[in-house]
Amino acid sequence: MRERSPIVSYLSLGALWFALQAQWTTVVPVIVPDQITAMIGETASKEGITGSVIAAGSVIALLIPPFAGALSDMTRATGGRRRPYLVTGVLGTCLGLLSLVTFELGSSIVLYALAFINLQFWWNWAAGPYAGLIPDAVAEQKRAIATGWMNLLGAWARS
Amino acid sequence: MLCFVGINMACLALTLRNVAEPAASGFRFEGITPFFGSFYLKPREYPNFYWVLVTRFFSNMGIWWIFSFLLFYLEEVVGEANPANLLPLLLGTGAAVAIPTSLLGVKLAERFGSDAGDDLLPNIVVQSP
Repeated sequence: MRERSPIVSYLSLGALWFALQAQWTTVVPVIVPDQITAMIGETASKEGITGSVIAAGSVIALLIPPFAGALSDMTRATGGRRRPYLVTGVLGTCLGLLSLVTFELGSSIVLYALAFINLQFWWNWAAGPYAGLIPDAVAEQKRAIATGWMNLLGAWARS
Repeated sequence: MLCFVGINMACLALTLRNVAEPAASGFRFEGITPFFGSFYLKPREYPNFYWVLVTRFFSNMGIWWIFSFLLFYLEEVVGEANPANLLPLLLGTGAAVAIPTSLLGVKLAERFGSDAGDDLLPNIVVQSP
């Protein structure tokens, strides 16, 4: 890491974790169930549909991080091998978030599931390589504290 | 959603500006089989990795089983008329408890994290919230 305050360095390192956690702990427990209810109304199947949509996204979340992480291990790029994945992943995530806004009463659940899968894809496209940033950018003896700061930012994001 | 887009972009800019990765020296691609084979880590060589994997599996399973349906629970069981407004407050209160726990985790990570071969404790601690 560049020579600067260690706190600034740790906060910068964990900043994206803050963003992703803040978003994710709102999208899954609040926005997705609320939007699905708005789309299909108060039906008996809304819990099942919500669970299915979230589960479909979870499959992507299971597969993409190790794949993107391994790809980033082999990437040669100016500024670092994780950086292209962070940039494309966050930009894709932003577009994915905006795509969810378009759904309303009567919209297709299948399209909504695809939009949610798309969001999961880009989030995890960034998150896999992002997990490799600490070992790349932090000296070995400081990695545990950097991880602690990252977790602190995650907890802050959830609050 | 626009709020999250703004947070994402601001945090990305902060990370890119202040975190310098070492000069890229990525591994060379040697074919599909070695690529996917690299996902397998021998348990005997990396036992701590598997401990962390197992603890993350159970902690995340517990969290998301509850989180995914908490909105419906508040609405239908608790009888809350507007659960989408209440739920962020509820989650925030719970997460606020995680902040002092995380600070404790940071301190423990400082204390134990640099001991070679003894990095399991901080990893468990940082997972605990």
